Amino acid sequence: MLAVADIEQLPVAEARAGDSQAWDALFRRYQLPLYTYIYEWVRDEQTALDLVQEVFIRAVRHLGTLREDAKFGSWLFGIAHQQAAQYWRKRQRHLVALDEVEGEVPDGPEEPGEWLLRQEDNTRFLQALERLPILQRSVLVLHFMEELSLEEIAGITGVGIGTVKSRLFYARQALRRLLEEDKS
Amino acid sequence: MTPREILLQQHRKIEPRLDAVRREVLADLHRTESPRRSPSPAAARSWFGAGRWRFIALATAWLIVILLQVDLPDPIPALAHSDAALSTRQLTLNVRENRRQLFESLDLSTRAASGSDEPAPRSAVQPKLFNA
Repeated sequence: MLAVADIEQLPVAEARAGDSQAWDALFRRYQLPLYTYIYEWVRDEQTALDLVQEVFIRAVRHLGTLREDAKFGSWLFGIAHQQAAQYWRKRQRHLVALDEVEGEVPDGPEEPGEWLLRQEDNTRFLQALERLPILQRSVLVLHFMEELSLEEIAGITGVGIGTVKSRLFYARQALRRLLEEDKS
Repeated sequence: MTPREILLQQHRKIEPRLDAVRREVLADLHRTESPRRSPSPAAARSWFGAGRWRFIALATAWLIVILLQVDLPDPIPALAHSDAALSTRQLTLNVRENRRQLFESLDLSTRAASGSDEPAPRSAVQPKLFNA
């Protein structure tokens, strides 16, 4: 599956050389997706903005550690995940193993247009998403937001591919069910 | 609409604040990068130019200080001059003593020349022996 970032020409090499215009272009491209992802974890505007700023600062400082320029997007989301999850853990204190049901999950691509929603369904979709456990929701948001591969999501969240696959499967299933329930 | 579009649309209103965050980080980046860059030859020349004038000004100031130090009267002789009245008497006494010793020695030398305490020189004695 092609990630959204793969079909773009991102000026990562220029940013690496210290070009501030390149950094501006990269941050402009990712600021809203990053904010959206972080917001799912922290549920507070100001905190999410502060964490986006922290992600930008860390990206500037540590760009040297990025091996493949093409992976810039998932690398950036990796930093965002670390920041958001760390904040969430401090707030929650207890990490509930909500979806760690490891096991065989059916393979298979999504139906084309499965997640195409009408304008009037937007609120229903967001409400249903909010009801998902955070570990499922975060994986689903990464999947929806950047169309990242299972490997990339595993790299971002620091868990195995099997876990990502499982979370994604149960998240989709739960979301579908919730949307059906709301409809009926 | 795709889930991506729905998710992003939900937060569109925050974009001006995200722009501000981005600008702030970029301004910081610019501030930290600027001093790290090596100065251009023109900048280096102007710095050395400014340094040259600073050096000249500093050298001039030091020269003035040194000249002032040389021209200033020594404070120690000034203190000695203040008790000059006391040492005048001492000086007179010293002069008198010196004069007395001089006269004494002169007196001794005249007496030696006229008296027979000391033996006569051999040049004066020997002719007498040969004559005898």
